[in-house]
Amino acid sequence: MARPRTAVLGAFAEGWRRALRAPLVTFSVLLLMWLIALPLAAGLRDQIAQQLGASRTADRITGGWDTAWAAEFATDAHGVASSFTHEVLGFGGTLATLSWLLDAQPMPRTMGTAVAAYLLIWLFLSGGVLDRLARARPVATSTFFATCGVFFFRFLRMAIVVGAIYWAVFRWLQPWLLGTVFDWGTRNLANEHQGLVLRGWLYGILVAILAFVNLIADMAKVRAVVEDRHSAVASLLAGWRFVRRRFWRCATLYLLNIVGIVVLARLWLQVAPSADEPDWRALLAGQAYLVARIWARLAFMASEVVFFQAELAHAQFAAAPEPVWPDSPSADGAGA
Amino acid sequence: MRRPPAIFLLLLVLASPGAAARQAEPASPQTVQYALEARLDAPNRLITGRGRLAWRNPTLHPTSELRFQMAWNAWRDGHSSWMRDQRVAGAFPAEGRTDDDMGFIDLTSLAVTGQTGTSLLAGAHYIAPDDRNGDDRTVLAVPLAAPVMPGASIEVEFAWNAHVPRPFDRAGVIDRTFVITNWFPQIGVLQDDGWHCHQLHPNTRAFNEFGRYDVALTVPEPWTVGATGAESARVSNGDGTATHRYVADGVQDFAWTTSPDYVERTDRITRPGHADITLRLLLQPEHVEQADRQLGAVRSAIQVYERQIAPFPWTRLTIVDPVAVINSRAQGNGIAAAAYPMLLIGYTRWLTPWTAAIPEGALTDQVGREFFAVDAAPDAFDHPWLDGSVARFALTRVMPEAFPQRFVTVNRYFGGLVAWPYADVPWQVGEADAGALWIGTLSASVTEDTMTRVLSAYYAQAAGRHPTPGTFLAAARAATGQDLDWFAEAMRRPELNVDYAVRAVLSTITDSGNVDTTVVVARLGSGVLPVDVRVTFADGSNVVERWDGKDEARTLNYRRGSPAVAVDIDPDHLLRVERRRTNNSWLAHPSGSRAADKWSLRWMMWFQHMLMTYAFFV
Repeated sequence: MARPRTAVLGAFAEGWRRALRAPLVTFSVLLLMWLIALPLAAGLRDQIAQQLGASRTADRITGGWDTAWAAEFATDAHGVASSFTHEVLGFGGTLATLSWLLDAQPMPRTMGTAVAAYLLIWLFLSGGVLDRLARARPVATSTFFATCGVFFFRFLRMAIVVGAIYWAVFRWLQPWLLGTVFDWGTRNLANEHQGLVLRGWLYGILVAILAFVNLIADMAKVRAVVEDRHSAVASLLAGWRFVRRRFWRCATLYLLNIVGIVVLARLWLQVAPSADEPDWRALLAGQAYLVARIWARLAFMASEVVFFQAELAHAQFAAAPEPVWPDSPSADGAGA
Repeated sequence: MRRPPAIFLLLLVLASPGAAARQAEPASPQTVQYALEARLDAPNRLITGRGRLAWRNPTLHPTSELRFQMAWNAWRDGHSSWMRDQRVAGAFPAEGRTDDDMGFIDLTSLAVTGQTGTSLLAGAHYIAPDDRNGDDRTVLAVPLAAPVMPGASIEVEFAWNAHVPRPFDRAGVIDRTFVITNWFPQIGVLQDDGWHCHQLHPNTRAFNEFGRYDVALTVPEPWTVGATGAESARVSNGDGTATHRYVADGVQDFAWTTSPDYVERTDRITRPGHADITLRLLLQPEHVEQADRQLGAVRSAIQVYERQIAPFPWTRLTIVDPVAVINSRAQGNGIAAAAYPMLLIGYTRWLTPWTAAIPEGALTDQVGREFFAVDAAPDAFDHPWLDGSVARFALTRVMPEAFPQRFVTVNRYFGGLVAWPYADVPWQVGEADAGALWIGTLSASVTEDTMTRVLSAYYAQAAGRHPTPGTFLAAARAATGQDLDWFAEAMRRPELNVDYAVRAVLSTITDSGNVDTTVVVARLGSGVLPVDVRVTFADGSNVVERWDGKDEARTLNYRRGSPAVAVDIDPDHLLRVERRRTNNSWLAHPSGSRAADKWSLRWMMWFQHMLMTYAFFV
């Protein structure tokens, strides 16, 4: 008898519900982001404090963004501090980051290193997070990290393959689309709106390709965890087959999740703190949005897990046994 | 060369119609009279022209040579001084261009009127008076068989071909919109110290003589034409082209534009006691919804400049809205905002928020340049601050009055798709160059009214002439009643770095219970200016010392009942040229840590969101 088709909306809703019921994971990721960002922020803080010294200027700039001071600071800023511009403020910062990503603009080396470190740690955590979301129940911390360790090298091998695809996309496809094709389309264009519509389409193609690769990689990771697959390549191929056989439903689920993220971004637009907002309110709003984004990302993963389980396994099924943190050799020796 | 239609010759010999002219009579005798006829071959982007130039030697010395600026040869290849200057500045405007994207201008004939059998081209040669670049072909020296005596005139006839480039700087074509400036062989300015006919360099403008321009332009029919002067005739040639004749008196340049796509709007500014000003706006079709905004901006700008400086120099003004470039790699850098007699080129973008300072900033800047760079026409190469900085400084005074607190900083993302206004980051008119900062420093040292008198007196002396720094200084000295030697010195070396700093403050309690305070202030830059130093004590009293700034450091000692709690160099912010204002002050109880906490925290939140964005793909 043919397996009934899984309702995409059901998977979406169940995914967000599972993510909501994993607050510890959400706050662990938040903590990780603090740990990565804090040293860099401390470096920037030192540069600002050093530049200000005992100056009266400090009084002026605590009230809001001071363009003259920012320009003066920028002349000596280096490393992370060179990214300290008005573009870190409010929703504009969100737009700027996305724009730089799609336009493949390089970032300062120090920041690039921190981003790479974060991605690596996130990759380490992904196995545990997916397992936790697949089981839909809390697991012990030791079990969580043991699972992370189990899947880390599988995911790392997978990330090398997927990373190579992303690299190729940004090395060749992105310059071809937004360089060669855009140049060809705009060379004699007197209408700005036509050029921008063209650019919009090219971004659309680029994003669609990135999303497609991302979807397959997501499903490959889900499959690796739920089915306890060891081979990264086999997982990716399985992910590819899974998506190919139910492309429209996978795409719909992916889009639903994207819509969720966009809705959150729209809310952020509403509450993003202005430059003269009191620090505590700015911090609260910023962190609340960050938590919401983390939750949305987890929900994204969870809905994919739910969808996969419903299609090929069953709810809350994970093939791998819960890893048990090994006892110490001395405990073994004592027969404990 | 293709012969121009007979209608041209007829037009040129007809009695002169009423020409568009300055509001007042030209201040100096008209030195040149150009009669030009040009035909635009739009598909091939070629201009073929012929002309007659009557030139009078305005100096006290005879000359046996004429010099012409051939501006478009700067874009002939990568070897011109314009291209080299761009490369030195890190720009590569010719990169990726085909030959058809480049520009050139060639004289095909040149002879003294009545001596057409004796071509002057035989002895003509390119020179590079500014930098000895043997590959530069933007200045043509033409030896004459007989010298032109002081006050005497010579008339030459010439013909030329020019290829319109994809936009470089202020001239070029995108699609079917042509903006044509510095487009014909332009005679330089002969002064008593010799020829001032410069090679074309980035960020300078041609230095031309004032005179009369009578220009017949043949373009495809029914393309719209906008140009310096007034259109005195328009004739359909019956071959798919039309000839537009423009005449202008008392101007030092002639620019024009043509396109089948322009949308035309007009407006009129009425002024008690002066003739109305007719505004003609030539818009890109996609900017039509900005028509009122652009006309309103020009109207506001003219009204404020008139209140602050003098009546606007022209009774008609054509405002050109060029094609906005969204991809400079493929389209070129686009047409830069610029001012020419009775014609200015603005700048705007599609979907420009009301709070974005374009097009208002560009239009207001160019309206100011109609006063200070066009009607008053300094040598932009020899005195760049007089050409650009005076107008720039005037802009800093006009913008806040014309558009009070309206603009914020706007960035464009996704290749220009999304314009994002940063509502809490006010837009400021940048005193972009050192010259404007020095004039700002002069302004801060006098009253608002006095500075207004400086600018209006300078303009009164400079209008219709070629002012020199001496013209400005004389006006400034007369209006302020000061010798302004420091300003004169600064204008000779506007790049001087002015930086004062509080180096150390030390308070110690003496045996008698008083407090000895030592303040060390230092001059870190090469610029020397007198400056005030204010020391504030804990009991609320303060002392203001005048320091001439000549020594590298100065120590100030005080014995008071309380210690110093604040030191401020230049407390009234008079030194606009001070680039590092942060080190100008010292507080006993600074709040630098709080500010550093605040902004590093803001940055951290942004960075955390960036991590989230990148992690989406992992």
